[in-house]
Amino acid sequence: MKHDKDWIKLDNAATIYPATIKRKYAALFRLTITLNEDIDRDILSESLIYILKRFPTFTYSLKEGFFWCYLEKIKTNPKIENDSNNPMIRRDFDKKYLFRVRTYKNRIAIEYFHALTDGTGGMTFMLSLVSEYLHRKYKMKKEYTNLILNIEDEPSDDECNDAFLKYANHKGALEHEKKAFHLKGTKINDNMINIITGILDINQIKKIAKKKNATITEYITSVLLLNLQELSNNTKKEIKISIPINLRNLYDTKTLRNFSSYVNVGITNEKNYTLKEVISIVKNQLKEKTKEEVINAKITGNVNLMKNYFIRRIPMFIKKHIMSYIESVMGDGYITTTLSNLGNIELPTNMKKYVTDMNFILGKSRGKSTAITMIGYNNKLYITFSRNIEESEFERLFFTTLSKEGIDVLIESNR
Amino acid sequence: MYCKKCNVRLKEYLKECPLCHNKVENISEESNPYNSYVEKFSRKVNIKYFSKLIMKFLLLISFITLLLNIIINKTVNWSLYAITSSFYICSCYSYIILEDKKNAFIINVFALEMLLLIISYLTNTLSWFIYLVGPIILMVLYFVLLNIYLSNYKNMLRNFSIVLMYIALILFLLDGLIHLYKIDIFTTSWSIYSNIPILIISLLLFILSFNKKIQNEFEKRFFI
Repeated sequence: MKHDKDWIKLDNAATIYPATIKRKYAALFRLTITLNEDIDRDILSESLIYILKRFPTFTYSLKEGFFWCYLEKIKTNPKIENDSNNPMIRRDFDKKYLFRVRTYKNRIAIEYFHALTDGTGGMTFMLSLVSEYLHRKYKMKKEYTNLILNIEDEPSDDECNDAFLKYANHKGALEHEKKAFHLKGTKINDNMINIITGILDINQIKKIAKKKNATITEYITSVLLLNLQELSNNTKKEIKISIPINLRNLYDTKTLRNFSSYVNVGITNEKNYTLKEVISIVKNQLKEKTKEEVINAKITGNVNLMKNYFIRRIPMFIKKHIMSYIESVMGDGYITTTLSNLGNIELPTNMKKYVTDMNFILGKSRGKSTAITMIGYNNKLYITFSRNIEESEFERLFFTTLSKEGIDVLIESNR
Repeated sequence: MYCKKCNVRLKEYLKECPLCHNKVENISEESNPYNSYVEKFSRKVNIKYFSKLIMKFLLLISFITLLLNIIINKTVNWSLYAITSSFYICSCYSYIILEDKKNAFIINVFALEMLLLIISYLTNTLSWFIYLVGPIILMVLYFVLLNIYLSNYKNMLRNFSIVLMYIALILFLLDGLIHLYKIDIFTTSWSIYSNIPILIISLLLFILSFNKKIQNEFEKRFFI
């Protein structure tokens, strides 16, 4: 019951997200899992209510205090909702869970507001829910991994605490970068989102990346940068991709709240680079920027900023406008696009036979037109582009580049 | 299915290539993994948000007024009109923002008291506020709070008798305060004539309220 507090503070990374909420925008991401049979909503609802006791930090709604936003406990049960063609629409957060569990036929989708958790936390919640659902529906024997929690276990302090505060050192530095090139296009309706997913054979892409002496992330990032170079019409601005980093790989924590940072890798537009050159640049930048001391300085910088004597004393209704402006300049302003990689998801064998597909999609951004995600499951790599413009030239260039390299691409879309 | 232009395979349900938008021949029955239902933004006007926005705006205006007053006059005087007026308007919005309307009412009444006190103070006419308006507003506040408190108890007859006693008290104080304002002495005159029958009736009702039969009869005839 010690994690059953009436209210809790937002974690360090989450403090920025409430400030960026606009009438038609909120920072959201979505995880989906497709089963081989249609979903039984009653059983899913029972499973959801049951697992919530294991995820106490997920049972809060967002509230605005005088100086900071905070999370307030919700007493009602969450409901299963119908999925739609335009996922991740901004909705009212007042007294509502910061996640939505939605179903359509044989697919379960969970949409998270980023202030609640990050991709890893979201994936742990979704897989634990699906494991419980399969156990109730098919009497599947549950197996636990680091992404599937035993619901009977007590939630630990480590899972519920803000890991940023624990691992931030004393010396921090905020990054100052140059403005990046942004893809322009015809804006679509505010409530719509264009999603294109390319499903690739993970072994095929691994082989090609290895041939080019790169990892899958390095290879995909390089191809994206090359495509953006082609679309940039010799802009003088830098072309940069932001790659979120799961800090749980660097620090020993199992927190279910936000615990990720990012590195921006990119190229200047001084010349037309070849793929080989871009791969080399990306490799070097990733190597340098993902060093523990560099990442730690960045997270410490953010923690120090939120601990600042004067910032803490500015009322939230003023502070949120300042934070929103800073985020638009230093967040989306510094990058052309995002490539978020959740890695290859391994499921226990008895669960694997029920799960056919998985996907991970980022919601619309405020300042950039496209966001990209990657997730691997069952020898397939799902690369998803979500965009708020009509034109799909970037996606076309990217997938045809892969296709020219000999990779078999299967396309899925919501439009 | 295959898009020859982009050289990629397409899911069977697609009617055109999402990459180049070329139409493709679709003869498959494969269902779309996305629902056709399109969700819309909630059109509900967020009155709470709107109220908070106005309150913040008024707070900002008050702060600017206070600063200007200090800079220009090196003291705080006329800005108090703006500050207390803003505070009063904000307190009206507390009915929308606060869940407990009783708290909103208390805040609203105290804001009104503060506004009137400032007006009387700045116009050097404190007496009308201290002897008349201030106490009368407080009497109304306590009357409403008493009714709210009594609504928790189901004995209507007893509640009614207590309300009558409070009315007698209000009349007594009103009488005294009017005299205090006019002749600077707290004394009573007409309230004695009105209060004697009121107090007798309320005492009678209070005693009768212990009789369940009479109490039921009263509730039957006077229920709201």
